[in-house]
Amino acid sequence: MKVYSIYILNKAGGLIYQNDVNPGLNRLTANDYLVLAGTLHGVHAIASRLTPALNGRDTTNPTESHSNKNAAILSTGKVQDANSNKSGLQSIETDLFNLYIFQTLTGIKFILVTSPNPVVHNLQQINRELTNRGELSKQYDQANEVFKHLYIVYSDYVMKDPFYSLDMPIKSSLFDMKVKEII
Amino acid sequence: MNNEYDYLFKLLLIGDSGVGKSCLLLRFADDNYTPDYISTIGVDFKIRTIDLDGKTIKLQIWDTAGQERFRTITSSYYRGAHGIIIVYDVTDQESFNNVKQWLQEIDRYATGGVMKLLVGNKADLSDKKIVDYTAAKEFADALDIPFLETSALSSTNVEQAFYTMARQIKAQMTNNNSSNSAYNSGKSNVNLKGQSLPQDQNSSCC
Amino acid sequence: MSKSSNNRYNGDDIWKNNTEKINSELFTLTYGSIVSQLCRDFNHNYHEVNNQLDKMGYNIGLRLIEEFLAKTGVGRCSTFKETVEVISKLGFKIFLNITPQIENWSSDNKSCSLILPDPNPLTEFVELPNLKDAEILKELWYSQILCGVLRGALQMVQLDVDVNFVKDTLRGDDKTEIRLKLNKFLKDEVPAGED
Repeated sequence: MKVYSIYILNKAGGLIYQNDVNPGLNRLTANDYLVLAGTLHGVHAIASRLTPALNGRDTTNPTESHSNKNAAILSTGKVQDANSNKSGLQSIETDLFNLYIFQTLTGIKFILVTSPNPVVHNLQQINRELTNRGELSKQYDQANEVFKHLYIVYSDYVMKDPFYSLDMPIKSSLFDMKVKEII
Repeated sequence: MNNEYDYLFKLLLIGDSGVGKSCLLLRFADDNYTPDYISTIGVDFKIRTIDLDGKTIKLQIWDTAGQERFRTITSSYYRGAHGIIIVYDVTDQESFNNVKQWLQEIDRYATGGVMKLLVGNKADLSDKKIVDYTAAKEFADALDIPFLETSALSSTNVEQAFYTMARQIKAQMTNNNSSNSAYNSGKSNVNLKGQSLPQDQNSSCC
Repeated sequence: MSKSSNNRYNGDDIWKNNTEKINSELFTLTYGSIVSQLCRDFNHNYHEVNNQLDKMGYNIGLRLIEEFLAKTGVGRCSTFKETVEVISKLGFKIFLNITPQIENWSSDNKSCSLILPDPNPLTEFVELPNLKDAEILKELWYSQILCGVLRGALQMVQLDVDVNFVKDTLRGDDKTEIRLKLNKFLKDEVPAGED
């Protein structure tokens, strides 16, 4: 998986960071990126409205799964996945690129634009993949791994910069450097 | 992009449909033409780049026409807005009456202390004008909200109003260094004894 | 969801391996110099010093929550009880290497106390100069910054909570007690896309 671009959206849906870490994507204007970010923010939220209401879901206690997760952290001390994006838009897959969305409990979104899945995109192939989900979920896991490190680097090099204003554009070369190290 | 702008402010445009929200902004935005996203996700974006004290500021204006249809995601749009512009049509009494409802919506979803601005649009249609300037002005004054009338023909007031708003937001941000203004600007800080603390101006510690 | 990585840590290894450490004395001294400087700056108006410390803490909390979430992966808590447990066993543990006792739950489960061990990491070398200024014992909450941190951090995960000291061994009390009171879960501010 090749990562082309990294976007960070504040909780208001504003684009506060955009870095083309590898060449390959078209360049848009700054305004177009802002519109793109705002649109993704909206579509992400609308997608969560599609959440199945009943089928197979325990609606009596929607946060139960989190509680189990927290109980696991408390009892074992094992670090868990910080992604809280469960019912919103998680990924977009096309023949030419994939896009993944990670969201924190505080509402920040990290977005990756990557190379597409390493499978030929025709229906037959995809059906076969479904029985053998190896490659697809592998790329998803890889993206999650990048997100995990991104979030940590963000929490260190953006949030701890005393001159950074919350929710505003990130203009830190130190952060840029750390992002490059991850990729 | 990293060096293209220093600040990004989110402004929200609300009001009944048909009051001319979108037209109002066309002249103000960077480009006169912006693609119409409204029908797809319930929001259109207009962006204006301005310069204040040597800093480049992007005002991203969220034009939420038709959001009634997407009520459930309303909070996603209000979230983190720095300023909200409520628009009514001076030739349509109903749209002015509904301003109260819009204000309630703001109270519910937006951050306390968010900047507000009331705009009476279509002021050029003087023969059809129904909502009186003084009535609207009194209403706005009582709520301590800046007010202006404008028309698609002259956008100078709007221009000025936006600059004023941007300046205020920026001032708020620099005063309050770690300004999560989206959160703490309006909500009073409560201390031990439960009384609220003034948002003080002199601390710049993080 | 996905199995995140092979780098699994166990027990309080998050504390040991995932967070930066500094000399605790430097930390204690730095905090002490801030408090004493504030006392001078505000002319020994301890009420105002408390406010300043609280505000500084609040602004730290708004930022620190991200590190906390990034390095633990904690999800949304279903009850305030769970929240407080996470604060004590993970929050205080990771950042200060202490685990305050949770006591005194109100019947509606919205208020409780955190009892800090004595001395707490901020007060190790501190004795309030009460002979010079008797007011200080009655008015200064020396570790008030902690309250602000909790308030700010909780607000970022959409919890409106009052946090304040009610007892401090520095003042001669029998223990050091922080009181938490949940005012409101800010449901409308929860980001879309959570379960």
